[in-house]
Amino acid sequence: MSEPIIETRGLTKFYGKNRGIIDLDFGVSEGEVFGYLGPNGAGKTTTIRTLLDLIRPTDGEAKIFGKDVRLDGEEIRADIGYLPGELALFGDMTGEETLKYLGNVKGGLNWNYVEELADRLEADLSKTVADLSSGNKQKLGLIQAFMSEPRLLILDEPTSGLDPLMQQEFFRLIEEAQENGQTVFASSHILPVVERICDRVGIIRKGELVAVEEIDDLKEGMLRSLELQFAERPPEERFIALPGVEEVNFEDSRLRCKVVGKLDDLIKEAANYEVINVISHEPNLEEIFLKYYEREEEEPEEGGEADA
Amino acid sequence: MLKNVFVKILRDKRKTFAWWSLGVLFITIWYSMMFTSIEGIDVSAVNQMMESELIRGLLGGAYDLTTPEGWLGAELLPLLGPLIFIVFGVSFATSTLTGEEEKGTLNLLLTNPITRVSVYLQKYSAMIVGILALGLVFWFGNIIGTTSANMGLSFLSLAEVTFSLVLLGLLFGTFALALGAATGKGGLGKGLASAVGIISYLLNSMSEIVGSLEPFRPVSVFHYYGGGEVLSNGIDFGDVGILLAGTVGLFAVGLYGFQRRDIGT
Repeated sequence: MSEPIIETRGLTKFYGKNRGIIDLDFGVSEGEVFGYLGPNGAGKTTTIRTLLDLIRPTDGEAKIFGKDVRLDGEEIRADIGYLPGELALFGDMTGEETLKYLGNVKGGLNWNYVEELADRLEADLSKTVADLSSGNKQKLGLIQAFMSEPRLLILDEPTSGLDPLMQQEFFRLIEEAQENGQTVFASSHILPVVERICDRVGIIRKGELVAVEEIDDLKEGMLRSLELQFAERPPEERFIALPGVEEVNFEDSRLRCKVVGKLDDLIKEAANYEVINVISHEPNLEEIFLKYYEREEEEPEEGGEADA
Repeated sequence: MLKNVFVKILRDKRKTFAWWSLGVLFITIWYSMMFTSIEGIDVSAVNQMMESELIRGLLGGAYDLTTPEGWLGAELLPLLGPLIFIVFGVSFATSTLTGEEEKGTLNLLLTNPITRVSVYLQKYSAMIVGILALGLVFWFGNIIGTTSANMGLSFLSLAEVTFSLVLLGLLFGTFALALGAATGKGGLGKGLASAVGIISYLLNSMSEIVGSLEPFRPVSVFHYYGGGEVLSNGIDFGDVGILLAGTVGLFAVGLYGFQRRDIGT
């Protein structure tokens, strides 16, 4: 892909003796939607806050648009839209006042676009922020992040508090951003969200990046669960013998199993019998995620931990 | 109304400021009106009490209550006046920068193309404007009060004493703002500013009667706030210089510290 939008080298942050992030090396290319995945306290927000120069790294460096986030922060941030994980807004202002203020501080406020976004997300800008539900506050947060049509969107837990309908609208916004060539860096601990929007994911665990992979590659090595309904129960051992097919389990004439990689062998074998229905469950990141974490859990623990 | 950080603070503070102004107007006019009520009363007994070390200790000096300067110097200026400006300055300071940090909105603000220097300067200048405006109200209230009570004090000397109060408020406000900016702990700025204020006041007024404290008097901030002295003798530019120098020093510490540290979530 083209020019790196985000680049970190050995990026490390300790809060005193407490671990924030350790030795992060990753890059995000222009136009990419990068998912930053990990449980709470893994270091997602610490990474984002370092990129935004809100906190200063203990070691290593981070570049955005090829510029150092410490030295050229002001210039860099002109082209970033940011949604904080814990969104705090000015309680005594209305949505409109909030967005006008933030837009003025940012510069180049396009109010027509703000209204369009508010319309799409069904955000009521006339209400005082203190009277808004957390979902409606989150809409304001999203609008302020998207309103300047920035080159880079940094979104910390973007879907938190959004109802399913608004989540769909948010997914559309991300897709449009990508069509416009904008780059997105989105953290989440909600896997289906990352799965839905991201091209590539970084998985962070206890401050360390344990994997950076294309979503498709991640899914490839995945166990896919499958259900086949036969007219009559076929011989079980034929299926148990198939390579890549695991956890074969018959319930009358219904077969439940898990398959690694391609489904070819299983389908061809099943075709020898009368098949009534096939239900395939999409492999999801939840399972990938657990796989990474289980593997790590087996290793001995070291060092302290901070919930940051 | 919401053009930048500076304007927004002034907007945020408009209601608080209105209440403070009302209070200050009331207090300043009230104290002058009280002066008319003691006219004709034999206050020699009270003036004799002024000889008492305890009273001098509390007021930081001896005042002749029958004169307008002495009246205000003994009643309004030793404690209540400074208290108004210090409390206003400190609460203004802690609610702007560290207040915004504690609420979490500083996060959002600083992720804009704006430097920390600029945010600090805008917050700081808003505080100056606030304290100066309160000074104007205080001056105005005293003009109304002393004029209605026929106390015959010149507007200039009232301005001078107001100015020394403004400087005091500014120093303590800067102390709280700078400490909060440098450490991220608003409570610390507020607490320490209050502690320094109280100790300064006690040290300065008590050294009037406790001889052994006298050598430490220059340490007290109140030593450089003239109070009633300013009303009778005019402002001391040396004192003004020291208060201003302290303010500038604290301002610089806050600016330096704010640029270097991590912003709290």
